[in-house]
Amino acid sequence: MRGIYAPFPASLGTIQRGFLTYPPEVARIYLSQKEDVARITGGVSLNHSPTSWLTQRLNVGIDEVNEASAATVPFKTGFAAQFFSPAAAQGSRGIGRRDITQTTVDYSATANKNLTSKIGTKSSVGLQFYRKFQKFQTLTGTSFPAPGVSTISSTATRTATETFVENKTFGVYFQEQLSFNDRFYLTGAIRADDNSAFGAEFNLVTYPKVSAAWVVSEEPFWPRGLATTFRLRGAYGTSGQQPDQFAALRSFQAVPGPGGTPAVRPQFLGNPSLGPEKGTEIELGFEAGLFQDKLGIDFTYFDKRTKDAILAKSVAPSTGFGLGVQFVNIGEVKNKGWELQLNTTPVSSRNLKVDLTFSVSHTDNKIVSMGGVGNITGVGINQEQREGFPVAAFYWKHVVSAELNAAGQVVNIMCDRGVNGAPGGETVPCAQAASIYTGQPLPKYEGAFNTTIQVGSRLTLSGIADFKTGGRNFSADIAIQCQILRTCEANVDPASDLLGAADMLVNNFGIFSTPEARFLKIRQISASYRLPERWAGLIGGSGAFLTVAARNVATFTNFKLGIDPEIGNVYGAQHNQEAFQAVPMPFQLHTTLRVTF
Amino acid sequence: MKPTTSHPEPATENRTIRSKETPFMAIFRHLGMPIGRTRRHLALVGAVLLSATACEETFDDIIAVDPQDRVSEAALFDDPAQAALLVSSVQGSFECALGTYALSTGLLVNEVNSLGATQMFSLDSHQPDKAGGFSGQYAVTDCGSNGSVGVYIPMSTARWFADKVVTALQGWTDAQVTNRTQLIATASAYSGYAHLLLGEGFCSMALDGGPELTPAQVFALAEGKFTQAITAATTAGGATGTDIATMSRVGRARARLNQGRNAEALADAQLVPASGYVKNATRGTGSVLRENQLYVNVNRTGAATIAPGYQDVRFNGKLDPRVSVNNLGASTGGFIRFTQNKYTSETSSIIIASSIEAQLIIAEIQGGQTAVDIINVLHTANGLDPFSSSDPTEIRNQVIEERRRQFFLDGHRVFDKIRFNIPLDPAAGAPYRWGGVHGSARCLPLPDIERNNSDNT
Repeated sequence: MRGIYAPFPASLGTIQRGFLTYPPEVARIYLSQKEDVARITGGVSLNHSPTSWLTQRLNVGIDEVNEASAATVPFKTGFAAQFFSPAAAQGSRGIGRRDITQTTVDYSATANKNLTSKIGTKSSVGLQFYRKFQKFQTLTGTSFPAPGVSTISSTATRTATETFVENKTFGVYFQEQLSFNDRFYLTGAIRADDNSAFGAEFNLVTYPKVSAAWVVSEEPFWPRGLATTFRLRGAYGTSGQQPDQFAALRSFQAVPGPGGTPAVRPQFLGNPSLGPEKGTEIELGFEAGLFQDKLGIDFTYFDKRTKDAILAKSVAPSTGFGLGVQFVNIGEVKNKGWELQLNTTPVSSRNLKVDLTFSVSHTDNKIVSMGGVGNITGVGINQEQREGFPVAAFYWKHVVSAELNAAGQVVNIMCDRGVNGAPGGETVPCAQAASIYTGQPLPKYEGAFNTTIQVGSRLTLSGIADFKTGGRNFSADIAIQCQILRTCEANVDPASDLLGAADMLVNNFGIFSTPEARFLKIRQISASYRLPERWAGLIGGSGAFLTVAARNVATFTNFKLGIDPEIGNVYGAQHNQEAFQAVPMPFQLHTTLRVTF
Repeated sequence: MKPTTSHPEPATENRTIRSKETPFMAIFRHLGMPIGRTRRHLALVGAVLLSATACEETFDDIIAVDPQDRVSEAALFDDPAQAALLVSSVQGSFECALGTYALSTGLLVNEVNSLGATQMFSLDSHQPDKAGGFSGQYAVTDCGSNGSVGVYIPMSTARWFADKVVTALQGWTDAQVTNRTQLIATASAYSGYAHLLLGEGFCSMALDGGPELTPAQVFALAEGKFTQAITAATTAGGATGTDIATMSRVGRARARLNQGRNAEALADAQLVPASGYVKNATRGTGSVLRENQLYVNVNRTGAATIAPGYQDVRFNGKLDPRVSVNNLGASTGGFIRFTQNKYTSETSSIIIASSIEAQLIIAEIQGGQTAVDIINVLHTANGLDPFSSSDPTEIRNQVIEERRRQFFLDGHRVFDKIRFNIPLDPAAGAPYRWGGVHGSARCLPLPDIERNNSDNT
């Protein structure tokens, strides 16, 4: 365990008492935050059958989320004020609004027909439209005139921002399914999509697919005994992933200019040729029910090749657009793996029934080709895109040995030279070593356990747990504490972790600040009791359930320096966020009384 | 929509489709299945599908999205009416870059020190990390956030933007753009200053994804931009033309001085009025982009403090008002915090060019009594005792000291330390207040983000 060890030396004996900026009692009153979320979902579904063999369906849906947050840093007086500049002590207030509206229009028509007594056909055609509109607004005010004042209108300096993100997709599809003896199913489909984020030089994209399923256990030759049910399935198809909205557009940002006049400045380089990623996937699997369906197995193997993968490429700032990245369709990415789910009911009696479900999946991803482009750096802290390695993997120099001199300094640091970017090279002075592959940000394995225990006719107990492993996480917390402020044990006493201390000297945030993050979380444990019906009847109900649920019960992890292995940067899109600034998922106890009428 | 002639009427299209056999029909036929109604069924859905997929322009209309909070390049550079906006934007872009440039180089040359702001540590300890990340923020961040020490991206952006706007202006005509020559002069002058500061602050430089350039090569390019600005400003005439020409003469004198071409630098400096001229980078409120980052970081947020070498600057025992500071006592980490009084608010301007700079260039080049007289003009203006000496070395050292004081926190010091080979203070290897030791960097290395994303560096 590489823990925080030392107080900050210069602030020992001062009002900071060894803390960098202010002691904990000041931190507690530093900030108050509030967040409100309102959500409205609605939809209309129309079904129409003009003939016995033709049905059509129209779904229109809307999902609107309105989030409002407020953060107030109050005017500080007395003891707390001395830790802040006069301006900072005057406090500030920020209000943020985020409105997200998603609209869906989905029309389909399906024709069913039995061509013969053994062959059935099902033809579908459809149109789909999706729109996602996000609006962000912020209001910020700084410097209250006096304690107790807390509105933005009372601050001395106020700023406001407003941004929009909108994305639209329009697609059509046609699907034909044939069934033979209700045992063998063959499906073919083609889909065409256009998206508002495609570049001006890019038009429609089409995605064909074909799949087959065979319920083998329905065949006469299938032996009765071990597997009661057995179904084989396979699919081959293509799919797409559109770019981020405006990723194709070369744009300038509207900003305030000299004298308060409007102005612009370069924002995104854009890429008019940008199109979607196109993935080709083969999926094979089976479902089986064993021992009279007491044990269910569902297994899937998948192999997906994504061509024209969208990768964010840093831009040479001298070309004018160094503020952002350029999204490009390059190379090929491969994802392959498997998913396994086991369901069993080991106990099933009149008074006790136990259902267990365990699922686990494994994914390997690799950049097969970079399309002739060299390594892409700047993807994240020590993260790069390199051919032959996982997407956005971590690279740094691997320290293999080091020594302490008489003065207690780390010297003679030796590194793995590396072989084609991978570990396993000869040991050389670190100046001669290259940065080599050390891990990936996404977990290689993840899974879940679900348990339901029915006791008698009224009591139900359940539990949910999940786990992830095989991914690394850059921890800004460790980086700041150990490599910037240098207040960790390895800084003060290098002998306690010689390789760690050496790593911090050799690398700009290497393995020391990017540990593997494994965890198992018990997400929920609950007990639900069906109350006597007569109790519900007292208020005109037909039934009543009392449920007590504990959420975020426990976390078992090797990632102990941070607050929570899922908070901040673990497995997220951004791998450089300070977890100490994030709010971990709190332990929650819910009691619910549900009455049905 | 495409022209209707390219879209047959649905009935016509259906008839066309019915005359063909789809792959599914072929399968049914080979299976010997009845396909009469199925054929019609398939023809119907196929017609719907084909009609929809054929109307690409309908798709485009349906999915059209208004950018709303951003402006496309075409809207700006295909429209001469945007010329004035573009030049004003060039000015704003440079002014933002200058703010963080002055802060970041101020950290590198120990005008200011970090007061616990981690992003400042590497500059403060003379160890700028060209790789980026936390210890190389100068290389990878913009000037649009409080506490930013970004230099390379904002100044490169300002340089590129100015050159692009000049090119656009040169492609338009006087009939299309009012005051086109004056606008060319203005954008060229800001291009010259962006080039100049990139050359002064960085150990080497790259432009437009091109090869690595030495500072001397960049100064030569800056000189060319200033010459272009002077020519255009002189042609444009008027008060603005005079203002831009004077600004550019100070800049060109500085660029020539940096190249060791003293006679030409002197000639430019002597054309600048001896007093009264000041060209400011305007600062304002309402956006971090517009705020004076020296005031914000040193006085408002306390991310940085004035360095010891500027905490008590005197001449003959009298405090020099050009380096006016306040002692606020113990602060973050137990260190004493000093604020500055040169910039008194977020709106305080930063001087880009001035008569005083031209005079100090004259003093540096001519030395002797001319230099002493120029120094004493400054001393009188600031209530300091007169300086007196006939020793060339002593006079030169005083000129250097006058520059240190006069240009406090405005971005001049980084190249003065290189030009005059002023020792690093603290020296390389000396303990750094936030841990570790000081490095030996005098300039900012060309960032990896440029090298790794350019085929030419």
